[in-house]
Order: sequence, then C-alpha cells, then structure tokens
Amino acid sequence: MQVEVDKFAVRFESPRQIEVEDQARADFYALLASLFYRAPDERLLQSIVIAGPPEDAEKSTASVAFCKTWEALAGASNLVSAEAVADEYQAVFIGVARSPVMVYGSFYLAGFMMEKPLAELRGDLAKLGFSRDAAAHESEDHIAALCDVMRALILGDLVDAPASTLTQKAFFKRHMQPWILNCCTAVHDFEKSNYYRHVARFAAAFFEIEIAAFDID
Amino acid sequence: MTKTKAEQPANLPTNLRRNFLLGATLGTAGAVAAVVTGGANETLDIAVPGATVVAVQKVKGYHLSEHITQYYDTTRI
Repeated sequence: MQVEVDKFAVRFESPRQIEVEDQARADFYALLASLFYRAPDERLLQSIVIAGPPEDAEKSTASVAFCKTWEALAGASNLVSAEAVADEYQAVFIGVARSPVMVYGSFYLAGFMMEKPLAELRGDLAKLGFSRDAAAHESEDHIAALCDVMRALILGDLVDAPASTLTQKAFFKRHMQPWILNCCTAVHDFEKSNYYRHVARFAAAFFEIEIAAFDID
Repeated sequence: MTKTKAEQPANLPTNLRRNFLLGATLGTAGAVAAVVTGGANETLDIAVPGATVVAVQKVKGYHLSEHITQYYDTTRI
C-alpha cells in the first residue's frame, strides 16, 4: 500500500544550530526510539523507503555496515505491511504473560526488571533535568526511552543548550553501552523476529558507531 | 553551521571525533534521517506524531519526585 508522505510534515525548527553529524545522530536516535516504542505505521515505513541510501563516504567498516543495514531496513520496510509489523511487534516485545524479548536495561544489567540499575538511571535522569512522562507506559530503562534521552541531550531545547559530548558520553557509557548490543542481538536472534531483525541490525550498526566515536574522546 | 559561542557546550567534540562521525556516514546520512523523522528538533514538551516518541520529559532544574524517592527506598540495601 502506498501512502502519501509529506517529508517535512512534522518538522520543527531547532532553537539551536546543530552540527550536521549531531543532527543525524539525534534523528537516528529518534527513529530507533519510535521503532522500539511501537510498531511503525504505513507512513513511517514509507518514509524509510523513500529516504534512500546514505552516501558511503569513506568505505570504513563502520560506514559499510551502517549503509548495508540501512538499505536492508529500507528494503524490508518496502515489503512489509504495517499490520504484519504490528503483529510481529506484539509477538516479539509484548507476548502473553511476559515480553519474549526484553528491551529494558535492568534486565540485562541485573537479570530482572525494575532493579537497582533503574533506580540509578532515575537518579541520573533527575540530575539531567528529566522525569518520566506520566503518559508513558514503559519504564525509563526501556531502549526507546533511553534513545529519546540521547536525542534530547544532543539537541538541547529552548531552555538548555545541547549537552556536552562528555555528558552524552557519560550517560551512554553508563546506561546504554553495557547492554545495548546484547539487546540488539536478542531481538535479532528471536525466532519470531522478521522485520525487527533488520531493525536490530541497523540499531547495532548505529550503536557501534556511537561506541567507537565516544571512545575517541 | 557553527554554534554561537554562548551556545557551545563546555566540552566540544574533538576534530578527530567529528571526522570519525562524518566518515562513518553520519554526516551524509543527515538528509536520510531528516526525511524519516521530519527533523526531530522539537522541544521535549511537544508530543510530535510520527517518528518521535516522548518517553521522558524535561523538568526545570533538579527534580526528585515522591515517586523516585519511594523507589530509592525500595532499592536500599
């Protein structure tokens, strides 16, 4: 099914001037937050399809992996229906009695949900000026929430300037890096994953770049 | 684009890091990401339909809610 996509239907002008690579990082964090928070609708699937491939600038290993996984995700987005992805999302992340694939930091760091790592995360979020949105139905250590925080740190807002690279790095290293790739592997390897196998590959490629970039500082 | 001095974070990314990110396609992928997200430049107070999700919200200054305090109590060893 083809859906009319207005490329900039929800575009907001930033109160800040952001470096091009940081804007891209923020946008990809936003995309991953959305894909892990709920199944994509037809509009988002078609947006991924029409976005086209990024230019492979330097043919580095990270660049090649990133481009390949993006193209695979775009290809899958073109083939799958929103209804099928919604069913898959239910099967992979919701399940019947418990989530078949966990996407919560506490689970990977402590072995259980709602454990001490979540309390530590909440403390750090409070220090950074964040609190949980009352409307959100997931805890703050959900992969989508953490991606959303990274987006916010990178972009800043009307009140606060973008967070320093050091702040971004500290948050990522403490609350995401220790488990995020394991989570991507779990999503990818789950037997009922199909479209989300591509999401997991793309997410892992993106996070690998983030990890390597933070290690440079 | 460059930031004004007043808006620059205290710790700027090194040129090395910038070059790595640009070389790893993130520089050229900006247009790709913008198409998909519509440019996620909104402030956190705005719930944007489409590609972004607002799971947390920004509060002014340090915020230690009763909910968080209670949670700390439950995790105290």
